[in-house]
Amino acid sequence: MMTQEELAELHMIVYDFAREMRTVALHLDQHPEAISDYLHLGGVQAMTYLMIPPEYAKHPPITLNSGRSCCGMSCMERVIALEAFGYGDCGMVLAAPGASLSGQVVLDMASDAQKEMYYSALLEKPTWTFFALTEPLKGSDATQIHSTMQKEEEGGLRINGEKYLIGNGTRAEIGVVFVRSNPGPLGMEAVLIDTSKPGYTAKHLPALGVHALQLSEIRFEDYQVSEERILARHLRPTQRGIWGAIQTFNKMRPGVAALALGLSQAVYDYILKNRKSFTEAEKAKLSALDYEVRSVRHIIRKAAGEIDRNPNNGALSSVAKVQAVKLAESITCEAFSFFGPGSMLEHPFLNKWYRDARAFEFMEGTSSIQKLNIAKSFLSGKIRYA
Amino acid sequence: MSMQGLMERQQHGRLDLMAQVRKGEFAAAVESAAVAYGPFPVLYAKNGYVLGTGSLIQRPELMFVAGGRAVPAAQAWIDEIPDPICAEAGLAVYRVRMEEEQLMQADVFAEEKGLEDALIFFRLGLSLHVMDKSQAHLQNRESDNLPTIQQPAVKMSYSEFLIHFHTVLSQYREGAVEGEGAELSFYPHLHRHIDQGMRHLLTLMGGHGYLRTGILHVGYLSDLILNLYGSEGYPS
Repeated sequence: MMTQEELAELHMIVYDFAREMRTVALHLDQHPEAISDYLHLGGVQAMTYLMIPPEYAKHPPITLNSGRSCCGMSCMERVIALEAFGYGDCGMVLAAPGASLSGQVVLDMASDAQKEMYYSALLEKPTWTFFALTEPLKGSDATQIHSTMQKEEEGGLRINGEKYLIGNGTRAEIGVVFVRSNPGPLGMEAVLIDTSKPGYTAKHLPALGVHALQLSEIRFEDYQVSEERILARHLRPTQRGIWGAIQTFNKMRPGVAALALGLSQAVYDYILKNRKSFTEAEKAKLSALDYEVRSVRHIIRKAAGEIDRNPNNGALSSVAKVQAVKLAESITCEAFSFFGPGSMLEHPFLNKWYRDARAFEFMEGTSSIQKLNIAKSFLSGKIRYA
Repeated sequence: MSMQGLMERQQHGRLDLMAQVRKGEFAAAVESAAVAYGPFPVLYAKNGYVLGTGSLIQRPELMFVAGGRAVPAAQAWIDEIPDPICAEAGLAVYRVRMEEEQLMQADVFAEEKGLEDALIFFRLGLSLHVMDKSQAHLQNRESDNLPTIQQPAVKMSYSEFLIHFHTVLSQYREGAVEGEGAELSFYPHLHRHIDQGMRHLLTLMGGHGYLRTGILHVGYLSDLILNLYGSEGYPS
């Protein structure tokens, strides 16, 4: 586990990357394909190799003064890094090549051979990945997957179905898709996908913000896959499929909250930097916003610590995500009142942050889903206060 | 026309405006509202910004109204602020500068109040558009073996929205409630309720709402209108 000093150093390193990312954030928002021109940036390089375990990576993406390497393997490391990255540009973070969500599934569920294949692809060159769970008709309800994987008479397997709102779907070369092989909760499987094979198509879905992410609709039409591509075959049936998705969401949710927090901090600092003086009422409002930012940071770090101790306990990370999303949405609106009429268009960063902030609600489960998680944890006794 | 007749005509006009926006005819609604209050098309230039359309801005007889005065648009300095979301909705935002000497004194108080009212009804129309769109989306979806539209949480969201919507309409019909500063609080109060109601709708389509075909773009337009024309006192 990293010490407080090491975490602070990690934050500062990523913060330097973030400042560089900010300088091209608006251009990338307008030209999402330009991400390929920014692969040389320190932040993008770090994202490209984050979440690749040290036993596979020759060079860690970030090395601290103590010589300790940081690969983003713990939730705490990720929230520290992602908050700083979100401060720079969450669009670029989400659009960067690298393991991202699918990496967490591979880490938890892949066999050694599958890991070797997946990480080799990521290390060979900057490679985009995808994580495909959501379907057009079922939204966040992960148990209601309709996409199928069926055995063929002549051997092998065939995947058919549609996935929706998938980040980087059009540029990914490799990814993980959740499909149904049998009815019931244990009939779900996670499968490694090579997008160059026939039967995979992806279409870009234009969205309000985070344009760089290139949200996509993915279709599998008679996509052939071998049994070796199915994840978690070496694990118990209860640890496959949907279990992997839930674990991944639990572990990655504080990261989404941290991105939202980074964006909120960026908005707050923008207000301070771009206004010369403040009225007493504005000072009071700023003070309340500052407190809110610090408070959400505290919750996120608590949640990350809890996830590192017990990934099954996702209640606190749900609390963190709900609060961080609420903060990002409210601060991006509040900011306009500091700059007066027309500020929504006259301040391109505030406009971008407003649009980007509204994406967090839909990542790794909506606030409604999080609230159900919290209630479930409370009723099952996982949340106790005394 | 009698005063009552005029008021009834204006009331109808506002409801028509709301209905037009509800149907998603945003540009057409702005254009109808512009010609509803007098012989010349009028756009509201409060705070130095104008929300209009490309074709309206080119009309030679167009007038800008602000602060109880009117100026022919042809005499004003106009600069378009590009915004892809407005453009997609057929709308455009302009920065407008009117020189003091160009401003002509005009008795346009009624029009200005009418324009403030039109903003309220435009934003109400936007929220109804979001409501319709989310309903159409949820109608065909199912969760926990129940149509999603029938889920208690979804019904609650619609109820919350309708409470705020009803509050705005009834307050508008009654006028400002009595008390110190009531006049000043009137429009901010209505805008605040519109915002609060809208908030209950904007998440109903889940991630679908975030797409260009979704509802968050409409929420953006509603926020933008408030940002351009915001009443004194809200948002603050």
